[in-house]
Amino acid sequence: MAQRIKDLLDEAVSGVEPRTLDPAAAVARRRRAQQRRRLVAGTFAVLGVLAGGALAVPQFQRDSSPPPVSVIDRPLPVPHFADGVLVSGGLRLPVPPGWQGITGGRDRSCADPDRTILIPDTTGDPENSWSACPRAVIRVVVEDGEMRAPAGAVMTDDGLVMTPPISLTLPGGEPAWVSNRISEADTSRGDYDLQVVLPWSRTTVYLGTSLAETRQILGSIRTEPVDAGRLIVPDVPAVAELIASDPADPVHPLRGKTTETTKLFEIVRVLQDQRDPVPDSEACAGPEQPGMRLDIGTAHVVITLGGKCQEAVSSQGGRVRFDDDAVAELKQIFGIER
Amino acid sequence: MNGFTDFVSARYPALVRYGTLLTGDRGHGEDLTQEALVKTYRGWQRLGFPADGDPEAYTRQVMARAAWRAGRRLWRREVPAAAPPDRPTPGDAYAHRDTAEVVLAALRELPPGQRVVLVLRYWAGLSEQEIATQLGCSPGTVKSRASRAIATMRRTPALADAFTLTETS
Repeated sequence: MAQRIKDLLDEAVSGVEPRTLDPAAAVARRRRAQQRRRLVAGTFAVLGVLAGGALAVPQFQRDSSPPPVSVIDRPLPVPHFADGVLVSGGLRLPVPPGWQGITGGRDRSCADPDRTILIPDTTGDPENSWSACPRAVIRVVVEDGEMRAPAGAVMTDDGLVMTPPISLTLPGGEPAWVSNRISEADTSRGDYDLQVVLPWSRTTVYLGTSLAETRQILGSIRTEPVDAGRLIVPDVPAVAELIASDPADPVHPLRGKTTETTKLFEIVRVLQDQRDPVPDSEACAGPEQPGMRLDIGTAHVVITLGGKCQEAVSSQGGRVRFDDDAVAELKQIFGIER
Repeated sequence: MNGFTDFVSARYPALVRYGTLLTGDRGHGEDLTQEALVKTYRGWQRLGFPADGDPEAYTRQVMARAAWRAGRRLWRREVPAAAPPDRPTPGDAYAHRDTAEVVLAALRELPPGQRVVLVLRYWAGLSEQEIATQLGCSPGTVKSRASRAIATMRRTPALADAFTLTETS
């Protein structure tokens, strides 16, 4: 009866007509826009370096110099294996004994996908990118785009809302955002699927290993993060959205969104007022803590809540302590305080 | 570029329909199509299109992978809606249009990973192994996603027959 399903799917889109009258021109515009974005990003990186040099002298001359702004505008990492360790940005993932590391598109042997770490070649021909070992249980991918915390979605009266983020501090201090609470893994089908996003290293690790192996591998990871500093966020964002757990309703998160200029400036001010960087050795955000997701322009900030370990991490760099007053102020600006 | 404009002009509507199935949404489907076509454009000369390769197959593969990756990245832990949207009753005057809307609405309710597998398995007619190779996952993952997708689609009354009989075929 597969034919009946195909017929239904065919019927579902038989009346769909493109909105674009000149698709070739639309594709060309989209391609040019992508090129412009890359150019602008490169220009800002250069300007950032130049500005840092120019500002160095005045900072030394002041008694109360502001904490350093984190600088992570390094080139996009190229993940590779070195001496039995997978290296990608600040990530150091040792290949476990008896396992193999494979780089997609080059090394084609894949004897045991259940014990293989794959670096897919996502820059080349998609036909070949995964063919080295398509069933490798660990895949490490560098993202040439905005880094966001993984999310589920919950249906609310306003439509689908992303779930609050889950944080993890990797050995060495690099922040990571994970798709699942590791202790709540569902291993009933014999496998475990976890996504670990390292925003500063612009690297995502996909683990399809068992829970026990996952714990072992996460424990073996070492990181060499860039120095923490104040949060980097766009000065003039066009939109901001805050998603936070609702203490009164554990299933449905609270959501606030704004495009009002005055509110956006207030949000940027709140973030930039947080001037107590968290050193790598003191970072402590863990998956057991509730979290808030703040998307502001092209930056994605995760605020981990609770007790003595309340931190905010920006995808564009920076990690600071985030006090209760700042949390309350953000919620008030977005109108979601309870 | 030689042949690219002709290819886009000729195949764009069909690709948008494919994108609509992969995303469950007309707008997102067209967006997915244009993103994939940018990649096709970049690879046009390197991959020898159209003489030495099939640009449409390449574009469709890019689309499927992008839809699959989007699912892994954003929508991993969907929680079903407490109250499903209204469904048309049998015998409606606009039965054709409504069937299309019902199917698309049901597709939208699927997690992206399940939706992509469903489309590749039952619309494109690929085997589980072929889908696994294309998406870079295990055949077991394909099988379980397809099974869950069928079960979810079956919950829609208007589609229950088609998706129930599947299990016995």
